Amino acid sequence: MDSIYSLGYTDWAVSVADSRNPVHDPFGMEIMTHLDHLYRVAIHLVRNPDEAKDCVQETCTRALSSQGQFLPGSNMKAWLTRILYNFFYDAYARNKRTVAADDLLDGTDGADFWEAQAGDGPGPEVRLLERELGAKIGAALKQIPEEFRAPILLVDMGDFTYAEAAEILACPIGTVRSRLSRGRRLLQNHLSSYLGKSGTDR
Amino acid sequence: MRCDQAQELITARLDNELSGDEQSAIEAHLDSCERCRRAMAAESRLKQRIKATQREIVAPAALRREIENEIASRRSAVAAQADGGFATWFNLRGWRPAFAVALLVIGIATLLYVRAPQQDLGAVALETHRNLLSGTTTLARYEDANRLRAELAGAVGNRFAPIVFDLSAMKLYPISGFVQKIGGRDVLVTVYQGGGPAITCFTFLGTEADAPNGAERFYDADMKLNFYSFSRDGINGVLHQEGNVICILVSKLAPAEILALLRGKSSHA
Repeated sequence: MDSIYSLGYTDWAVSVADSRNPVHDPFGMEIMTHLDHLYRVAIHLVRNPDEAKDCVQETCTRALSSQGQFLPGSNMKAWLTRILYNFFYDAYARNKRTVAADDLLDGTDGADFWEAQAGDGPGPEVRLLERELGAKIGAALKQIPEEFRAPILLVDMGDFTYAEAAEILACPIGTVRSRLSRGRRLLQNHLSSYLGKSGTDR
Repeated sequence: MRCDQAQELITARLDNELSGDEQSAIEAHLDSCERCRRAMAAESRLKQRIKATQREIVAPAALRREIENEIASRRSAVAAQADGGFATWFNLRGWRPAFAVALLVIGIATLLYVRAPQQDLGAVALETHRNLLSGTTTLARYEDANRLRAELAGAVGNRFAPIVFDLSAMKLYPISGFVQKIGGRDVLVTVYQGGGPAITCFTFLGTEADAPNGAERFYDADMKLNFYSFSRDGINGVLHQEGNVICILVSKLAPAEILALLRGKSSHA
């Protein structure tokens, strides 16, 4: 069967369609298409999957309540990500409920999730290696300070341009660029024992 | 340029975010510095690895369900609020004669509107297809064509169903659909995508009078059917009638190709 069928969001398309009047709600449906992205960003921001879930849920609630503020045709993914970050700063960063970079140096916080990611289900060896690498990157991302992590989440994971990331983070484009550069180097250092010094070993 | 100054430019180069001046400066440095070339290769691999591995993380099914439910309950709350507002308004005694007059005006206007040819349908269909191509319209994807068809028909109270084509020979499959209101009428839109140029099929209750003004008419003697072809900015539409249902196929394919497809079609209305 053609690859278009394996995009993975068929389930929700059908289940949204099962509810009252789904076909007429393009706004809600578009939110659903960005759910994986939001969860991915959230899981790297907060302490554990439950908090990430809360974060995404609150983001969607706020987005649905502010539908009138969204300009149709503009970048919904960036808009939602901005809402997510605003919530994160309000609820987590300011209250220090999130994990500070120093706390993470013992390498135990949030480790369960990443271990689960690494060993989630059987698969070909290549896939296991990929999962293991994914888990290592996830754990390493937790160990770098939030200001350097954010541009990595947005540019490398979220495919945002520097200008979009700057708007989401409410900072100048030059700051995104310098923090991204520094962030990637910090990440590389954390991964060096796994990847080798040059990042070429595995 | 020193290597520590080059680091940030290497990062921006990998993300295609360099200005022209910066581009030439970093290229010159990379030409002469093997260490920075190695650093760039490592950073490029890291970027790819972040992207590839983190894509594996998906939102849990329970979270999806909760948000779907929230979307659905908000929709019904909005609908209920609209109903409540209307009831309150209608119960104000002085408003009832005004309501009757308004109904009369709407009735006459509707009658005039229905009698006038629906000339904008074709243009809206071409525009919708363009929006789908540009990604302005986001689609929910369906795996099962029969289910898609059944749900679209259900969305218009089973008054009619979308015509479904088997375009697998062209590597095109019905991947999504939605209901669009055009000129007060429900139009079922089915989107075919895959290997070739995308095709969008619009189905609605109507007659051949719905063909846009200026459309070219072809009579197919074998099928005993009229086909109407119309175009705008490289996007082409072909309209024909099947029973009480009008079908418009829209694509970047040439009108003759769409016509050939309709003549050789395997469809069920």
